[in-house]
Amino acid sequence: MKFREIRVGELDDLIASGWYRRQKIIPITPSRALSQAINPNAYPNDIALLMAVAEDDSLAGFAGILPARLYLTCAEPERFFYNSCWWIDPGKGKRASMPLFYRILEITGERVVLADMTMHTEQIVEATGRFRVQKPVEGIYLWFRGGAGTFLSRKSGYRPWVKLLASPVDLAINGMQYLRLQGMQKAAGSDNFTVRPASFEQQDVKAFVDRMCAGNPLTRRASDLEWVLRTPWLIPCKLCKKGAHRYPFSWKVESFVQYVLRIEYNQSLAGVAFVNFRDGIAKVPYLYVLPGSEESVAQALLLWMLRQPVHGLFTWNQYLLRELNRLNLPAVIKRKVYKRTAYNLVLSEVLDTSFELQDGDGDSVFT
Amino acid sequence: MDDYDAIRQRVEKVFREVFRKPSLVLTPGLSAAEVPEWTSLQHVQLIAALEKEFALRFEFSELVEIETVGDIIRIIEQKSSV
Repeated sequence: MKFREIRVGELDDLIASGWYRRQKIIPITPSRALSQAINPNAYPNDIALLMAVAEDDSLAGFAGILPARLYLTCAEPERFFYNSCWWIDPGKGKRASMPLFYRILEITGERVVLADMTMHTEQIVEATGRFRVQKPVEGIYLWFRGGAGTFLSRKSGYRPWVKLLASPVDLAINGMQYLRLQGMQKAAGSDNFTVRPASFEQQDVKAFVDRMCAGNPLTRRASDLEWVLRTPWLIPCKLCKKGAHRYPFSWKVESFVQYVLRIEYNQSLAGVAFVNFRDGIAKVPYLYVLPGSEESVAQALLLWMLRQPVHGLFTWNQYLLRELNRLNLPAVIKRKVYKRTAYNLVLSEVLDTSFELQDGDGDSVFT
Repeated sequence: MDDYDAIRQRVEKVFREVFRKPSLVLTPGLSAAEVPEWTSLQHVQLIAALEKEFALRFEFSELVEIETVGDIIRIIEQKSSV
């Protein structure tokens, strides 16, 4: 087995190479590569991708590194790194798993934040003795509208009659939900907060974002979000043909739209939300709020979402969770989800144990 | 007892603790393929426990070389003699 390291400045060459074209499973998608090539927090010489290549020249495993900035008070931002992916071929890659992970630690000087781990990864990471593993954060995945037909039609092995059967059920559920949501919105009342689309070309939005994340060392600044907006990692393609390549993480979806929203009170900015809709589910990677307006901003954002063509929400955002509880939002499906995070002990010297990650931290903001 | 044997005994002690098999006997040729409990998770625990036992850090290039118990003992021996 050989190990290859690809630098940020070499990503475009990699995706243009013959080796890449020959792979059944690819280590990075073109959209991820192009995005990471212009990461404002990376240098061309930074290693972005580690690959284990089997004797037959096929991919046996890979791991990604996403450079980021740690904003500490009274200092220039320091560097740290997110692990953006870690995949091992179950057959060929057994021996590659640990070397890849330990190499990431070597390259980054053990300055890694793992923003969203599976339970299995959490166990591995804890076992290394080199990480501080945080208590899992509880979030929610809820549907406020029925969408079983659409959801099932995306599953593999789908039969068209399933959608036919599910559609009348969805229709009935949505009729009832309409009345329940109307009732909830009436009860919530209106406190004159408005929500409307914005852009990072608006200087006040940019300045607000940078002002509101002061004191939060990991939260992405406006310059990062401009980059994220320009280079999403997901490709919306309803009728995409099944290509020759496979990628083990999110890549092709039915729909993906990103929004920057300004939330105002009496025409003055009280919040900025970075929201995306992926296959009918809303996510809020970042929410920047004027202190004291948390409840009203979260309520305005939730009520705005209910008017959008989405059927659910996936979030760990504490303001939104509190507001969902307070409003007692009627749900069709509701389930708890957990976010597992860890960071290298080296970083514990500069990171407070109580720091909060936003939903978009790590590479989640791109997907 | 020479260095190799002393290291082998300590490695064996770590293996027994990690795999919770008090009667496990190590041979230089023993590999992950022959020990069902030697999964990727156990491998990390093993590496971390060996690092602690011998107060050393394995490097990427060394981890790549590890296939058998003999490889582990040889690497530790080399690192200890530096």
